[in-house]
Amino acid sequence: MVLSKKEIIKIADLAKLNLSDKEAAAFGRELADVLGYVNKINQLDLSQVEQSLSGAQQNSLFLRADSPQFSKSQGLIPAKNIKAGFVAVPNVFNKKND
Amino acid sequence: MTNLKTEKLTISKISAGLKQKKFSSYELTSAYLKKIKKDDCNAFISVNDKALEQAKFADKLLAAKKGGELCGVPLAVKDIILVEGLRATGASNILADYIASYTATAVDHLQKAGMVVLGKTNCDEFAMGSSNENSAFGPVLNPYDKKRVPGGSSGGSAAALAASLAPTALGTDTGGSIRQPASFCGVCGLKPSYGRVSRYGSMAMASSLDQIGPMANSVRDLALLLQYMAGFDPLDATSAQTKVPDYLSGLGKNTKKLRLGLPKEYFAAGLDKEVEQAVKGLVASLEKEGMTVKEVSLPYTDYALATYYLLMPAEVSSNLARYDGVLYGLSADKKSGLDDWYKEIRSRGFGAEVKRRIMLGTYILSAGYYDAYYKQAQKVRTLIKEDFAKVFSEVDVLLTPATPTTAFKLGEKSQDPLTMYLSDIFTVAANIGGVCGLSLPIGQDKKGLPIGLQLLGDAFQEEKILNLGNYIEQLIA
Repeated sequence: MVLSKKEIIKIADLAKLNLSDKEAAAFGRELADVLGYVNKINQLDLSQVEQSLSGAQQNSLFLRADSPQFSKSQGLIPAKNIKAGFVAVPNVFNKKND
Repeated sequence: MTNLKTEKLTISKISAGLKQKKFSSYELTSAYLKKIKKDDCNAFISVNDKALEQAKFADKLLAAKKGGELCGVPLAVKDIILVEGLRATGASNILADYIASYTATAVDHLQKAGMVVLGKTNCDEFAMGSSNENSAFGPVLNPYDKKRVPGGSSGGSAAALAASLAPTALGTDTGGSIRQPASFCGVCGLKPSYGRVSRYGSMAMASSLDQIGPMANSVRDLALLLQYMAGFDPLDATSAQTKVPDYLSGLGKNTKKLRLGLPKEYFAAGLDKEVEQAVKGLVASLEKEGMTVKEVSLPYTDYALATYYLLMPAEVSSNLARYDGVLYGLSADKKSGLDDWYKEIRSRGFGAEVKRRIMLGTYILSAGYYDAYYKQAQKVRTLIKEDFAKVFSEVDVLLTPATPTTAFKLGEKSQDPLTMYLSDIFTVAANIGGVCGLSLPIGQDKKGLPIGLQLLGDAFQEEKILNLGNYIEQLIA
């Protein structure tokens, strides 16, 4: 299995990474090596097996409501660029796309 | 007291020394800080400039007879774990200047018991690695042989203990990151069951596998630290409500009644002869002491590493999406658009291994591959859990080598990611199955490098592996 440069560039774009040509070539080889190895799980017949989301025993975990645990001001402590109580982000659209 | 000896101190020795006023926490903390300054293993990324102040406070508590056994005892914390007001880099350039705005629950419990945080230990970037060569702050060297790796990812914590730069430490373990470095550095380390210790305040790597755990110079110390660290925390969505037993009082109780198992899949090709002999020699000693050991089988062991290298990168690619330089961390050119900003920050901030795993995870989760890889891996996780459930109905504790070899040389595996990944082969299954495991030193090879024994117990059965580990420690002392 080999990953083409085009595939690597596409994955890097999805992952929000810029890769140099050297990095892209190395990742192409290394990802192919790892994927070749992990593909061994497809030797197994898993058609009748349920998925597990974690190692926890069924029902032993209590999932709390997914609600904010910080006040807004606490959550913003590390932010460098706060304007009017909000975090300012860079332009969402590049000028060329405006 | 200027000549205070810090070599391989255990909590009980420190506590006795403090109570008998042989030394104060201030003196002890000063002695460790001096040693850290001279450290040539690169075990620490930063030190706590309030450590002496906190030690003085602990001394006051002790003087007022308000301090327990942990009061005044110094602690090193892996830089993946947050301590309010201290730098928390995750050994990454992307967080090089980040100061934690809150404290991890596990650390909070230990601080409330009076422990003094010495500083933050070096590790692989965002806990990704088996050699500690992936740190943005340089590799950690193994105190036993500085040309060799200390293991990873909690290599700084393990090296700090081995070099007596700290008497206790915290690590995190996603696929062996406590047990493998503990083994390479000849110290004790425990990966608790999934959900036993709150993950709140630990930088997430793979949330379904991560656990914070203690590292120390004795198994008893692990039990004592776990006692304070364990328990339900509403701030961790997967924290378990299971009752925390009294780990210390469980030590030495009915040890010989524990049923022991040797999983045959862990003694296959690739295992170093000296490591195998050390583990089998120890098993023979246990049998001689009247314990029963039987061969058992975990048939899906051969698929555990492959499953791990599917689940883990998938979760990594998702968890590390938060490092975008918007709320904290590196900044980029303000004129760039959002997409360019993200790419610039992440490309500059992440090291090669982190990028590799994000790329791998992004691929695994992408359309067309999710079913072939991620979903299948989630199914194999079920089979691995069933393997453990079956075997733990027959035996109480599994004994295995912690690692296939002793510490390898710096640079030996860093050019070949897949070979590096294979060094986790004996540790990953415990994380996938959610069970607990500990590593303790049982000897050295001919080169003088430590050999670690791994004890695996069923989920929330830490008292069994601690009990046996404590027994083994005394047996071989």
